Amino acid sequence: MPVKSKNIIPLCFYLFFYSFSFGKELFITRDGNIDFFSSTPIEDIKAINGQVSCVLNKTTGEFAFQVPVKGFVFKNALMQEHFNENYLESDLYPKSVFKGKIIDWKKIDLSDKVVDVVIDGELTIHGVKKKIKESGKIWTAEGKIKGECSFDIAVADYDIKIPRIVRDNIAKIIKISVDVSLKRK
Amino acid sequence: MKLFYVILFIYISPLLSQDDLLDMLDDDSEKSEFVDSAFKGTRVVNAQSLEIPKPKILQFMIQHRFGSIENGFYDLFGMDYATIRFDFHYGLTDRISFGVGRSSLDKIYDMFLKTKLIRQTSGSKSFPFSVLFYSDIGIDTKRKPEIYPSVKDNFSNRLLYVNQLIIGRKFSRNLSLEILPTLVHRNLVPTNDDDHDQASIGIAGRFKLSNRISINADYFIPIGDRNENYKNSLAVGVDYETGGHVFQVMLANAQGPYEYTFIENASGDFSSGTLYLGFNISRSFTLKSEDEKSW
Repeated sequence: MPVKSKNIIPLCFYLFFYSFSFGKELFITRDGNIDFFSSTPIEDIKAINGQVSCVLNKTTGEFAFQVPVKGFVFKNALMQEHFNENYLESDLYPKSVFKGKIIDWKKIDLSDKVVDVVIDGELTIHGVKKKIKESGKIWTAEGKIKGECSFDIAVADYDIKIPRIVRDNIAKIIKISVDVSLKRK
Repeated sequence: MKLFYVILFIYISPLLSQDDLLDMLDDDSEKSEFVDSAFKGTRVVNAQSLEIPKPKILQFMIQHRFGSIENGFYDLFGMDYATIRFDFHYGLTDRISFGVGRSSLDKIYDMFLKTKLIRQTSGSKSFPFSVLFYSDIGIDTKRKPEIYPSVKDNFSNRLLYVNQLIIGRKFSRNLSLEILPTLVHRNLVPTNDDDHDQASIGIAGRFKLSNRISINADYFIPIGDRNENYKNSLAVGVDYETGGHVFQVMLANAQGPYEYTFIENASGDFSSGTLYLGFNISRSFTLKSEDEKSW
C-alpha cells in the first residue's frame, strides 16, 4: 500500500464521524416528556415519563420515538406496579416506539412560528403495531427544534386487558401528550 | 492509492446506508434498574417475601387461619375455630418499612421492621439477588400465672424476638425464590431443656400462572434439636390479585400466621390431615395528599 498507515488513521476517523452526518441533519433528544391521562367518573389517572428519546432527520422529515415503559411515574405506586406488571407487561415489552414521518415536510417552513403538521407512522405499544395519523406542532427556538403532539389511543387496540373489577376506573380511551426539544447531533 | 479508496468506500458505505432512526435511539449502555415485583404480597404464604409496602403506602393485612380441616363438614373444615392476625405495615421509603400486628392465637402483639439491604438490579450495574432484614418483637399477653403459677409475671418473660434475613432472586417474570435464615429467641422457655434460641432456614417461592394468579409455597427446616412434637412448617397457597388488594388462600400445617407460631409451633401433619385453611387479604391505602407535586 502506497499510503502510510500514519495518514490513514486520522483520515479514517474523520470519515467515520463525517459519515454519520453525511446526507442528513439529525436532531436528537433523550429526555423528552410524555404523559398519559385516563379520566373516568370514578377517578383520574395520570403518569409522566421524562425519558423519551426522539430523533428527527431534518432533511427528510422522518423521525422516531422510543419510550421506556418502566419510566412512567404514577402518583400511586401501586398503580405503577399494576401498570408494569399487569397492563403493559414491561418485562416482556420494555419499550414503546413510534416510527414515521411528517407529511409534506418539504413544504414546511421551519421557524420560530408554531406550524401545524400531520404525522404519519407506526406506533408500537405492548408489542402491537398500529398505523396512526395525528396532528402535531413544530417550531424552532434557541437553535433547537421543538415538537408537540397530543392524541388518543384505545387501550383495546393494543391488546391491553383490563379486568372487570377495575373496568370503571380505567378509561377505554387514553389521552397521550408528547413534547420534545431536539438538539443538533 | 486506488485500492485504499475502494477499501475506504466499502468501510464507510454501511454507515451511509444505516438510516433506521430507531436503531440510533437504542442506548449502548443499558441503564441499570432495580428488579421489582418479585412477589405480589409482602408475604409468600406465611413467610416474609422480598416485598415491602411502597413508599407512603399503608398496608392493612388480615390473616385468617381456621381450625384443622380434619373434622370436615362438622365444623366446616375448621371455619368454626377461626383465628386472626392483622397488621398495619407502612412503607417509609423504598427501602424501609415498619408495622404493628396482633394475633388472636396466643394473644401476641408484635412490632416489626422490614428493610431492603441489597436490591436485585439489572442492567449495567447488575446484582443477582436481593437481601432483606426482618426483625420482630412479640409480646405474649396471655394470662400467664394461671398456666405457669410458679413463673414470675415479668414483662420481659413475655417477649419473643424474630430476626430473619430474606435472600432471594426473581429468576424470571414468573419464578421467584428465596431462602430465609431465621433466629427465634424466647425470653421464657417451658422447661430448662428448651433452648432460648432456635435457628432455622426457610425456603419459599412463587410461580406465576398468569398476570394475576400465582402459586406459592414456603417451608422451614430446623437447625439443631427440637422436641419430638416439632413439625417442619409447610404452607402452600394461591395468590389472586385484584385492583387494590392481594388475596391469598392457603393450606398450612401451622395454625398461626405469626413468625414464632408457624416456624416453631407447627402442629399439623400433611399425612394425618391436621391441616389449616386460611387466607390473607391485604388492602393498600395511599397516605399521600392528592395535590402533592413531588411525583
